[in-house]
Amino acid sequence: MTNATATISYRPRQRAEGVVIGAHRGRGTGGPGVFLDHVSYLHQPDPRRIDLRLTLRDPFETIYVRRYEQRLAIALYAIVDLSRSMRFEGTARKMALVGELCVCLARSAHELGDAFGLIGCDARVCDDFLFPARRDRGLESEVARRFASFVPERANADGLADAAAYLGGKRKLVFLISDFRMPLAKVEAVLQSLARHDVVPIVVSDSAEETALPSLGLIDVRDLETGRHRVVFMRPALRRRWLAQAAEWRRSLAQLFQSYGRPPFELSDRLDAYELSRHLLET
Amino acid sequence: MNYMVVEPRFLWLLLLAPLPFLAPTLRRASFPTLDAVPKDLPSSLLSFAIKAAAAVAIIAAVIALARPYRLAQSVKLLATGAHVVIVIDRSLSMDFTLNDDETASNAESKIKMAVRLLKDFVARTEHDEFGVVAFSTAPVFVLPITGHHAAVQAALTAMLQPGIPGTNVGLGLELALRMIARDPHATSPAILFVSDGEYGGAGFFSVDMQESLRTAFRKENTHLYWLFLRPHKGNEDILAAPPPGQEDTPNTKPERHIDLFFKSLGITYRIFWADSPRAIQDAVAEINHLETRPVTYFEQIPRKDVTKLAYAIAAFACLLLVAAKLLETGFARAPQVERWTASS
Repeated sequence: MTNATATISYRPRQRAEGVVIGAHRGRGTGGPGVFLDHVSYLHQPDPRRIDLRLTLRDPFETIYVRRYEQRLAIALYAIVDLSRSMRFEGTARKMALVGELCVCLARSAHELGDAFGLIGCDARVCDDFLFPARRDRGLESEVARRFASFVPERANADGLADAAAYLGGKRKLVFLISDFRMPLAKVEAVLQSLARHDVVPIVVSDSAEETALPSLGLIDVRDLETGRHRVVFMRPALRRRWLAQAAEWRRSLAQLFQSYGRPPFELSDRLDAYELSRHLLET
Repeated sequence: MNYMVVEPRFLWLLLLAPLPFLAPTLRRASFPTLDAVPKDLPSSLLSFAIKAAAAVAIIAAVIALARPYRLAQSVKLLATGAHVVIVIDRSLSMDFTLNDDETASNAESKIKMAVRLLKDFVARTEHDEFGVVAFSTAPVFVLPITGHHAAVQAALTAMLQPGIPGTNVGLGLELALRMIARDPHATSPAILFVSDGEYGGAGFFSVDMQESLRTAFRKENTHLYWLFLRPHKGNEDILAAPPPGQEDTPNTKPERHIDLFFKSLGITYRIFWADSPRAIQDAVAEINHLETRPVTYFEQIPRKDVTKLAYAIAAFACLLLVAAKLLETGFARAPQVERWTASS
């Protein structure tokens, strides 16, 4: 299965709310679905679902009605960091990778009848990168087109903290997609603003910036966000220090995400839909 | 530091020197954030060194284009030696041999022998400076005090001209003392007085002359060596007091009274009584040995082209830059990413 047709399996943490019939366990009852419990006919006067066996067995002659779990549709949102640091190109192009993931999410949502929305943020929420949650099929190609023509221009991702306002009141499954190259306090502010939602942090990384560093040489490193640059004399000792620092940062980031619900998923080099599905179903 | 350039019109290119500090010297590699890059002192130093090397390369190359040279200069150096004024008696008697034989053609005359040995003396010393004065009836200014030994050799050769009758020791010495007084660098002067006596009672000093010589000798603190070219005749000591009864005046014994006068000056004075070529040679060697006072002398260093040095510095700096370029690297990039970047 290639990524052009791959879908991602996901499952919201809580039971879904809402009115649209869908694929996820809902909070309400009714309709066909998985058996939930019995209630008295007085509580739910629905003669179609009277459980004759239980009613006849009951010595107090109460009439029982079977209740079924309602399957409901949910809304998925991807909140995407569009700051300049996402322009990094190493083993893969980060923006292409994120586009691929969003298209895949749109496709998966459509197949399950869920709505998918996309909020792009750089220094603020980008109006031209805003797709409110929809169920129609055209969304997938629209998102693909938008990503294909987009080049990140702004220096920071402060807009991530404002994205919550665009999500609406009901609890949603939110994919927070970023490289999280920002102070931990800012990450925490974003997580706090999204606290009522089911947030799946997805850390976009690249082995070229993480593990596949050169062990000897001179690199004039240019900061994609600020444009500042610094010459680094790479050597085994410095590489070790660099890797240790990166691991430390990664650990504290993971710890932060964990305290807000879910561990992060590492989207590194390429999108593996199966791995992401497993991560979503496990956590 | 006296440096000049031949072609100053290239020097305005020096304005390019700060360029390495303004423009990138290495290919830049994009990275999401510098916060993830560890701070590292060697890296900062190396970064500065690369920029500095680039600036040095530009500066040195521009200066090399302008063809710099060092001006000719004289360097003051210190050595042991002396400033010797050779005062040569050119009276007629010096053209005779040591044995006062005028006609023996196969024997060397006193002046020839003296000149030969003095030339040898001059050739052996390295930092001594010499002046030459000749005298007979009147003193002749031959050569001022100089370190150019070739000139000294030539002046000594000129002494071989036939002599003139008459001997005026006082004027010759006076000229030598003036020569010393006029030369500000003559810090350790000595007078080498080459004479055979034979003044015939005419040559001794007047009282005025004695006074002025006495003052001048003390003022200049000059060492005095008398190379006395006179054979011993029997056991007669020409410098000793005559037997009682004989007259002891400057007129009858001029050599003895000149010697007494020199002794009374209170300066370093020695007389070398040379009655054979060998004795003269010993005397000259002795003088050479005695005159080892510190002297300052000036060495002339000619103008020197330093373009090659500038090019060498520029080449070395470029070599450093090439090394930096060879070390230059970046972050790993997959081939398909390169393709995307190239096409977009």
